[in-house]
Amino acid sequence: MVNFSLLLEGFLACLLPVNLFALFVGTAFGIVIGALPGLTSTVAVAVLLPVTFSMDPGTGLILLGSTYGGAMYGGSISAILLNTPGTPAAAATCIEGYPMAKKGRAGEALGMAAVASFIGGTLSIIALIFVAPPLAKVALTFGPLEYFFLALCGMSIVISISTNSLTKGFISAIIGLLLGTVGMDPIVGFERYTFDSINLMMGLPLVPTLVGMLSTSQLLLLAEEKSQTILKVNTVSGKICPSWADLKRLKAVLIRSSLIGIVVGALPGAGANISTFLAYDDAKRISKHPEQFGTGIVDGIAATESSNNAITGGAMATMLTLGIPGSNTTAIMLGGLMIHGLQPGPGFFTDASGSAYTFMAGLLIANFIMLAIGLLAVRAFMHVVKIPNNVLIAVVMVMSVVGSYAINNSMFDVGLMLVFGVIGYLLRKGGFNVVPIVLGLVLGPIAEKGFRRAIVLSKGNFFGFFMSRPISVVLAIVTLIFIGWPIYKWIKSQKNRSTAQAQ
Amino acid sequence: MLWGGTLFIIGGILYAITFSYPDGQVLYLQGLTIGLMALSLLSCYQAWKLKQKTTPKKAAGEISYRRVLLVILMGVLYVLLMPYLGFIGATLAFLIFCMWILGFHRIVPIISISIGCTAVLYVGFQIGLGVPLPTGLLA
Repeated sequence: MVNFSLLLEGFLACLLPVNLFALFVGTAFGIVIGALPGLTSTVAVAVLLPVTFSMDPGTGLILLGSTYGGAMYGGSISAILLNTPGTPAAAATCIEGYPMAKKGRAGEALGMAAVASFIGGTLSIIALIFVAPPLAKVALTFGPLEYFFLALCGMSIVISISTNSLTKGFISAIIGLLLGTVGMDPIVGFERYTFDSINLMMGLPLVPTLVGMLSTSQLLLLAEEKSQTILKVNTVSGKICPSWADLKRLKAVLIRSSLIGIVVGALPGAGANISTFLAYDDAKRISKHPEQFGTGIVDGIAATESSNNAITGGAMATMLTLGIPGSNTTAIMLGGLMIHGLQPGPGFFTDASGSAYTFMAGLLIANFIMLAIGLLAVRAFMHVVKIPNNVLIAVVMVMSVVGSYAINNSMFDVGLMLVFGVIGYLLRKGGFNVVPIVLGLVLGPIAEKGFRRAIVLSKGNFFGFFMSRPISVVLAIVTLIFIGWPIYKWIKSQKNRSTAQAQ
Repeated sequence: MLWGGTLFIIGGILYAITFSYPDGQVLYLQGLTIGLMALSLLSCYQAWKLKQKTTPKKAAGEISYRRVLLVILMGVLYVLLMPYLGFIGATLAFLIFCMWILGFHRIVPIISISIGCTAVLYVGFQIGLGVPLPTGLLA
């Protein structure tokens, strides 16, 4: 159950000047970074992460969470003005947003994007507030075996949903698991893959590795593009704020799309682009005028934008209660939590309940700030999207270097960040998705420790021990379904292809 | 196929390294490395048989690997020179050269962005957060 007194204390804590400042700066920074094509919410959070080190944990989390929400909305700005999504989550917004902008209705599109993002984000944070504490209580009953199967289940979902090639998905997961083994063996204590480096004895430092793999590799992908996106829409004029009649008409679309975003966000690695296209298809299906979709109507924007901001609550629910990041951005936030000495998982809502409720209250307030910025600063966004990629790459690279250095005052971490940036870039060029790698790196140690402890606890009767834990059995079945279903579909398609060729 | 072959070799090297670890404690590592090698071979086979495409390829004229190599080189030099030039010197040099090499040739904006960015980061981290940034040999 929700602890309403702690929630109220959280809201009051958010009204402190330092927290209000963090909310405003995080939201504004997130919107700006999200609006810039090629940069993602992951980059925005990665760049701000080191800034939170000397902050109170609650303030730091608020800064990161508000950045996440702001960036998810910010992607719609370049989607509408440039026909180029600022974040992958905004890809579906281009479909309706840019045609509206070409018709001179850019302001209306941007206004609906802001309001829809607000509604989706708010509903998802409310869901987080009500779902997370009871889910954390259930997670308190988890033992080592449950954590092993939970980690496997999370990875199986990522592999089956977020990768085009199952083989490459499994390879990515194994690469992540192998990276997670670097350091001291957790049970016996011998060095694994440290190559006699003292810096690797405690394992790969999580934040520089993630910043390199996710953020620096993204900058390198941006660097390879010769052409600079040109602003094609020169004015943002006309009505901006959607009318009450519009919102009433789109009530069903906004709620349904938000629910889709919340559920998909909770699935590790499912990604905002999956939920936005699902929401868009759903809106088209329930519309009285489906033939108008694609020509530039606000209904499509309402669906995509409410869905993509609704992801934030779902992704953070999984991250905070189970310690499994629901997205790349929450993987970086997970690193941030650990740096502040906060252990995500069931203990987060008992040992650090103050920070937990302050964080959730802050996210709710951040949505209001995002709405205000989105409606009031619309015309300023045109200048934001004009920033050249050449400048962005250099500046964000410097911020990544400084951020990686600031964690341990170590140039080794910076070097590691660069190395993983190159590795991440090469893997992405080779068609490998980095999400399973990130998840393997984060969940691998949890899975290994869980499995080896379970072996010890089972006292030689592993199967009997496994069958006595119903949660483990359920998680194992879900894992088999997520791994087995794509394999079954692949085998079936191969058989159909051979039959067609034979005929 | 190149990727499959490379990962197979890496898997093999990592597998060989496990023989130097204590007996009985390397099952997990060996399982992962054997899995990597097996899947790499499968990936090679699939690529050969199906001529599988990887990421959607952009037209050759739109991609510049030279720019990527230059950014990586600039990044490496930035990291190597920072202990000698200090944060301020190395960052100014990196920003100026990186923006220029990437094709941004407006001198006044380059100088002002470089100085502004360096100043903000220095003030923010060194003074604001108390993170001691490298001062270099000149200090």
